[in-house]
Amino acid sequence: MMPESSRSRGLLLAGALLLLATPVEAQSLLSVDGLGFPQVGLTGRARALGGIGAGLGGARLSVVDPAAAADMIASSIAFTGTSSWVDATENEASSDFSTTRFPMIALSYPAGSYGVVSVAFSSLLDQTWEDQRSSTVDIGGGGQAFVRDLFDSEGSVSALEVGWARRFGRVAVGARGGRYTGSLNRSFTRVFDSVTVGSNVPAFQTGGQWDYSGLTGIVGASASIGSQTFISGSIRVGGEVDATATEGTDAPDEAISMPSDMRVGASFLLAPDLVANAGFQYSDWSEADEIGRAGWRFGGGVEWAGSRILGKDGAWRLGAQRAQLPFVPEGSEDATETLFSAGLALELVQGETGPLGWFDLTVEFGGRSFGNVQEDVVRSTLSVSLAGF
Amino acid sequence: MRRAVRGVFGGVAIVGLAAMVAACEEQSPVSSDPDGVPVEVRTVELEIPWSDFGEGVASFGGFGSASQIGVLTVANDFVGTLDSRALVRFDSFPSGVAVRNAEGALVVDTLITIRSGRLIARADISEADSLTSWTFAAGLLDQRWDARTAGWENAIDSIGERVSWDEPGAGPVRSFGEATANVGETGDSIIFDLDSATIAEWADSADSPRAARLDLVSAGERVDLRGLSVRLEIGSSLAPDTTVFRDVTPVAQTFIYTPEPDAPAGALRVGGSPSWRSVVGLDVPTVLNGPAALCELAGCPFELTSESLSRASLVLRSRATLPSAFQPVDSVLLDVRPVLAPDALPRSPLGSSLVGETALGADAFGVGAGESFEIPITGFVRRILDAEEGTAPPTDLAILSLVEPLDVSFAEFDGPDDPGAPVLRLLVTVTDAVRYR
Repeated sequence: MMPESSRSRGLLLAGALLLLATPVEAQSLLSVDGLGFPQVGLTGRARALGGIGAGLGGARLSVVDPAAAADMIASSIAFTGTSSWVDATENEASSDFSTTRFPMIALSYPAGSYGVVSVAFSSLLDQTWEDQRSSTVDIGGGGQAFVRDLFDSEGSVSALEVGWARRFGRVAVGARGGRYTGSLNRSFTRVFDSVTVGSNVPAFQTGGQWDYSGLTGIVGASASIGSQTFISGSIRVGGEVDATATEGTDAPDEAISMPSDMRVGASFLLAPDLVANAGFQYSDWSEADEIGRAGWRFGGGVEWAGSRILGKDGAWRLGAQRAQLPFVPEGSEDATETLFSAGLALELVQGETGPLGWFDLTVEFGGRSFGNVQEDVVRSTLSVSLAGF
Repeated sequence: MRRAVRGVFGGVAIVGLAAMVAACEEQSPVSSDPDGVPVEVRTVELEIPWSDFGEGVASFGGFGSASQIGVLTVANDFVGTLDSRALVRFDSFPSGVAVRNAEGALVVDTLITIRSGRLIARADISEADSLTSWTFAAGLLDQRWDARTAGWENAIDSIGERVSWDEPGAGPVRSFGEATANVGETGDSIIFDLDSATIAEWADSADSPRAARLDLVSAGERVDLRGLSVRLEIGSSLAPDTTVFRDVTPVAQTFIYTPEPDAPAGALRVGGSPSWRSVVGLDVPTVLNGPAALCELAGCPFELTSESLSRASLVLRSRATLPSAFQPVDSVLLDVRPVLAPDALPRSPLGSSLVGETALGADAFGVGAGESFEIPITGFVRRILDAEEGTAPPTDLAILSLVEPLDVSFAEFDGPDDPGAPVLRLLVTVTDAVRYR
């Protein structure tokens, strides 16, 4: 039985985090092309172990592995924050940018023998980017005007889902269903220099906004094979995302055929407290956008859980991943990503039946390349899970 | 256990706050691909001819008076046309002066003797060289006159009272001499010695007009005068060896000139003394069916909105001022204001300045006639385009001198029937919708 004060405090915290959740994760110049930059709210542990998020084992909340919640025995909340620093080089020009987002928040509640109920809110497509350029434009009649153009795209496709997970012997199953949500705001601003238009003249502005809707869902299952092997997999059913132009937006409504996203993974107990993990993810975006194609990612890592850090039980992780990204800018033949990762986990609170609070911190570094662009990426992911309130 | 959970909450709060602070410094990815922006934007400059936006022009004179100008213009057959004379009325002479007596105390001596007096003026020599020499004549002006309304023909021309000069041009006068200003020797000073009779008349007579007329004798010239005064040399009965100098300043001054310029025929006139204003009526089109450049970009008919309008300006073409004696000799400072009550023209109240100050070179109204000037009226046109139904923002513009009046010269611009008729120049930004993809 949870103390009432702890329960209400937990609910307040969950509410506050839901308000803070900004499900976008602009991390690449690739956000500019296609529908955005596909990304999901992976936890720090999933990122440290190859970036797939399937076959990791353990009871936890995961937006890509709904069956993973089957063994949770206490109500819990988990959220993830991600910061990225990218140094992009195109030919000899370079630019850098950084973002900090909260791409995932999820809650779970064990319903006794009926299984575990969960709610998850996560991002699927990052569409935040901007374009700034100064130029001299021909205004006809031989005249020219010096202008500064600013284009701002801000938004994401997200999913809000309710799920259920339950264990049946050595097999656990899980599913979540819900709606696509989020919005996309795009604005264009042209600022003329004061010599051209005089002072106190507002800049030219135009823009549009689309709200997302549509149904989505994910199913998954996991199983233990023998005493050393664990496997799991999931399929997110893409369906159609309806982008409805809001009032005042001149552009038409859009519909995006979101691809199904398949993930499989396995882990193998190499030695007491030492686990190896590998996984694969695949989704075909060729129907979604004219520059879309099949995207895949494989990765893996090792986790050693036998250490103590700062007097607490902890774990160390190393991993690597390689991906073919689904949107390839015109003029590019390929878009790939290679990342290496290192992370740690720390149990904050140990309960009678297991850990009640812990965090995972992962740092990834590597690069992306497409066309003449090379991006050097450093990304940190912090996930916090709290249970038992 | 509960304490541990509270500790975790505290840790989480710190982590969350740190992440929020970091998020405040976000730098979004910046596209390097100009074709990646999903919107086509074009900016085009349009010139709307008078026939498509003009409702009419009118010029009104009579604003202000030469007496308000700090400068007195005198001219003698300038450019074969202009004659101008300065009129000045001085304050009463002092009845006493403060001096120190034999004990060193400061006392007011009312038993004074005015030993001499000089009428002094300063000429504007900014355009003169050291060899320039002008001769001026001065005379006592006995007839009653009103500085605000006096003109070449009339000494008084106010409502309810009109009195002609005995002779046109503020005559006759009792001459008290001539003075020559040699710029190379005396600088800008013009000095007339007052004879004792004039000093006595101006000092003693309670109803003396104490007025003078200054003429320019040098033919074909025009000179601006300023700083007129009468300098008195005063002797004291209490301190016989002391001489006190006192300057008596004017209480009224003006200048009168001939000929009066004819009213402009269809042109826009600004300036002069009294000053002219021009009013331009605008019927800003909200739907454009041209020019071709616009239709090519955005399709026609094109709905002109304040959002698409980045700049609007009224383009005027200067014309040579005639008679040329009235051509500006210095920069013309224009002001442009909305006419708030067109029905009350020419005395309609005007709105706030739209331009602050626009300086036009003087040559544009002489040898450089035909020069085009843009008067920015973006805010004015935007308010017209933004007007809600039932509201009537001003649609008339008053073009006037920044200082009314500034001097005798005026500027003119081509009117609707002239080759350089006013043009409405618009900088319009057109775009299709911002696309999703």
